[in-house]
Amino acid sequence: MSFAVASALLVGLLVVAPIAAHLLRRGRPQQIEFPAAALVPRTAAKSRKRSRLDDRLLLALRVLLVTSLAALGATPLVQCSRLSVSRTSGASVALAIVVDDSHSMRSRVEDGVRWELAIKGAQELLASTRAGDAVALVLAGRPARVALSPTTDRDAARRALAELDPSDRSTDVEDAVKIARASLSDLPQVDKRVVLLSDLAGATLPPGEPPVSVPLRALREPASNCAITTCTQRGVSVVAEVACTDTAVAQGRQLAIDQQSAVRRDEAPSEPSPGGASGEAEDEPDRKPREPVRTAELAARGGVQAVELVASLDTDVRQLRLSGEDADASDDVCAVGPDAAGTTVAIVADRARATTVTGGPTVIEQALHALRPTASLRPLTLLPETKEDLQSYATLILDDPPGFSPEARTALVDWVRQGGVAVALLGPRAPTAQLASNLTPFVEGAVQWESLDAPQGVTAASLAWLGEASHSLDAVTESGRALFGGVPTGARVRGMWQDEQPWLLEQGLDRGLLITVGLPASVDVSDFALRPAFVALFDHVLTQAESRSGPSRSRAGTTWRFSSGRATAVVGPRGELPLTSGGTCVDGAGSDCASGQAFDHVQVGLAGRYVVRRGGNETVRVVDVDPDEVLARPALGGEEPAAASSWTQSSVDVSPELALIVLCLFAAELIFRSLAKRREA
Amino acid sequence: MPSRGEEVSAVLTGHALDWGTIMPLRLRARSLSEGLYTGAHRSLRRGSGIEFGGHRDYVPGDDLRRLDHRALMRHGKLLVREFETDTDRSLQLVVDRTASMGFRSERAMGAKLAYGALLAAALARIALSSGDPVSLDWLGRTQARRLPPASGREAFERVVSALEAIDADAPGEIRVSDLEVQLLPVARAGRRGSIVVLFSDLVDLPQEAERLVLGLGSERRLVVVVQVLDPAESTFPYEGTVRLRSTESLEVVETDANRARRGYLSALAELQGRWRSELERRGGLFVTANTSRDPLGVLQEVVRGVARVGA
Repeated sequence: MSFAVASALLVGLLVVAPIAAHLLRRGRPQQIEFPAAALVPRTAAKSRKRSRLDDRLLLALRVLLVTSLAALGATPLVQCSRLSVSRTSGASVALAIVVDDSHSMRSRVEDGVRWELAIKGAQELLASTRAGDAVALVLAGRPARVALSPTTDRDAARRALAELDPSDRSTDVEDAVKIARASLSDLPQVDKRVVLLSDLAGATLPPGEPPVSVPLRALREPASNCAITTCTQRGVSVVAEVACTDTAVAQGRQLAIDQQSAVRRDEAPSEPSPGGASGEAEDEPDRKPREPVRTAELAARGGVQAVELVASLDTDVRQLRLSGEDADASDDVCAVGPDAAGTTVAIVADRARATTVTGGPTVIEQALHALRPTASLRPLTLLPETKEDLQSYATLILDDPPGFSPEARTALVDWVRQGGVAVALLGPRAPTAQLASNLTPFVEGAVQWESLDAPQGVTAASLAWLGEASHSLDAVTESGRALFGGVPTGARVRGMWQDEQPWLLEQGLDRGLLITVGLPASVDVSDFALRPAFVALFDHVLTQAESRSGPSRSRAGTTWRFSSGRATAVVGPRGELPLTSGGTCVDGAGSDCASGQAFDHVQVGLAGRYVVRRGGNETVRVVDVDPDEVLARPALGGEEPAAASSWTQSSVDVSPELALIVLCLFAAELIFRSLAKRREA
Repeated sequence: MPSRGEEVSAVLTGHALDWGTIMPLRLRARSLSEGLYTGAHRSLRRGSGIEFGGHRDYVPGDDLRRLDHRALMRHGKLLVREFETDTDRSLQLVVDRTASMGFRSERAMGAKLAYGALLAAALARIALSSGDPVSLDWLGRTQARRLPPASGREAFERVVSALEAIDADAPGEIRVSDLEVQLLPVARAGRRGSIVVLFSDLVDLPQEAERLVLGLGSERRLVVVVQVLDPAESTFPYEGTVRLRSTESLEVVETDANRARRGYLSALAELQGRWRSELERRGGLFVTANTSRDPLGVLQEVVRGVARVGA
């Protein structure tokens, strides 16, 4: 505080002067010498009262005048709580406002909900900009993105800010800051600033220019919260992962299946509407009391804990609810999703042939478990003959199939066209297909099983796409091999025997994929299942399955891609999401299109149940919250933020307003005194 | 009308009288009396001839033409003849110099005492110009030097000098005994037909003052009371709550001026009415003078009133 400001504040003490003068005057009216006082009647009461009223009005005016003058002198020490852009040189400013729209911003802290505080701060910053200032809006929920490119149109900025909504994304402050800096880099303004409105939970600030200002300290107040991050139904079990910030908030809370959310399978529609009981809770939790049918108590500890509830055999559970209250009610409800479809693998194998001598699971199951410990493996004895029975699987592995019936073939083709990945490991039983059975669509025509006296080996070069593991098949030992009668149209040979006979075929069928291998998993026939290439092959299969069937469970902020050309609709907790077209599909998680195809995409920012309608089929996907969004404490890693005062200023220069008030008060006093004089006259 | 914030600045004297625009008294009085001549040409001197009024012992300085030789032969001592016209029209000026007379408000020409002194000096000059003797007495808490009846040019100078030198009393009530002592010489000196003129505000004199003053009107003396008031006393211009302090009794009255105005003016009118009626009943004259008024008008009113009453 400067000497001038202190002096100005001391002027405020003069406010006692008019009060003292008022009291003195009121307490002792002016005394006048008057010779004929003896002739004057005494009438004091009414006159004192009136005098008091007049004086009070004048007193109020004068006190306000003195106070305003003191405040005017002390400006800009007088502070308001709002944010503003300070200007050192008066030049235009390029301002990038990074608003964190991650899930942790939904929590309520002492001053309010973090998101609302951040939006309010952004609005205040916008309000303090002037013509010529450029403003950009960047969102720091994963993936970081630009909500508004730099513009000098402040109305557009205000509109863009008003359209922002909180999400359940993870935090991606680092990328957001990079984007913000990049967006400012080409602007002509010399004074460039990046303001981050975030709770900084798990955030890292990247070094660089301009430095980042993190002005709202209230956002970084810790919040106690428990959230159901995932909940999955596996048969009769509903498994939920619950993340709690601390022990106290987990104490005495229960996970419950409400009666309304437990639906009998024979009564339920094929897939629930997202606007119904399952979808309504994600953003607007239904606060009506519900009757729990199953409950499980949380362990009183912080961190992530898995809780299992057992439902009835014939019941689909749509929703779990966490009792009690915490900083964020929206994540106390979870839409129960199907088991992770991308990693649900059906294995049709003869256990006697495909098992090692030591017993236990088949080598296929062992390989898959090694690749995806969380994958759900379903051994089947027979290939299902309806599409619905195959619907819950993403991958189908057939070990030494003897052929498929027409019904099974039809179901298989339909299922593959919707994104399924089927693998056939042909073995000695391939030529033994019964009447009307064949191995279509894996191969055309009859398959022969050729016994070998000497190992033939697979050309590693043809399997280079498997990586280093391909060399392990150079010296594969086999007692026989399957020779394909004909390569189906559209199939590619992706692996060959050393005598250039096809060993591995890959055939795309709409969104799905068929893979045909000329060796079975049985270790009695070959040591193929014991070589690294076997595991590499299944890794390829699972990756393809995950990318083609689409993820049944995603983290908020994931982009779902769908190949163009088929009517696709994605209905989320808040209704249908618009799809954006553009780009060419590449393999990767979240892709629902074949590589190289044009695709449409949509980004899911809210947790909850989504229904994807595509080509007359409906699939259910669930979007989860990252547990780190709940557990991460507001703290900052990396570069320290710039001091708030150097970039944005909490104080506001209200001199013009105060000067106007002083002027008005002065005019009011003059008018009042003028009126009083006229009345006296 | 002055506002409450610009209250009349009242001066409580007792040491230095506020003469305002009245000074120099000598010139103002002369001018005033000459203005009266110019306007009316009226004299105090009345009567058609000289009537013998008796003998008295000769004192050095008497006009030798008035020696009564026959009486010298008969009684063997020097006696001079006196005539009625020399004694009946003497002017006895009585000036109130109590503390209240030192009051002056903003709009007044000067303090009430100064204004009264101006009127007294002008009257004295008129009387002396007509050859009538003039005496000067005072009313006050303290004694002041009185001037016995005297005529001639020197008499005017003495009257004016005495008036110029006077100050109002310090605050305090005047006692009845003081009044009696101070009015006794007036009563003794006054002869049949003389004129007693009292200059006072009358507002803070004791009740007995009325009886004593009216008592001067016996033996065919003409009593004239000139009530000298300040404009503030005539109109009561105050607003709001005021604390009024009497200049003599030091009594303080706290009042709402707006509500008290009517009562005050009524009380003042009642006081004036009582004096007026009592004086007129005894053949006297009551004149009110406001210190913001032109003194010439007051003087004319007094002279014409005396002429009317004394006819």
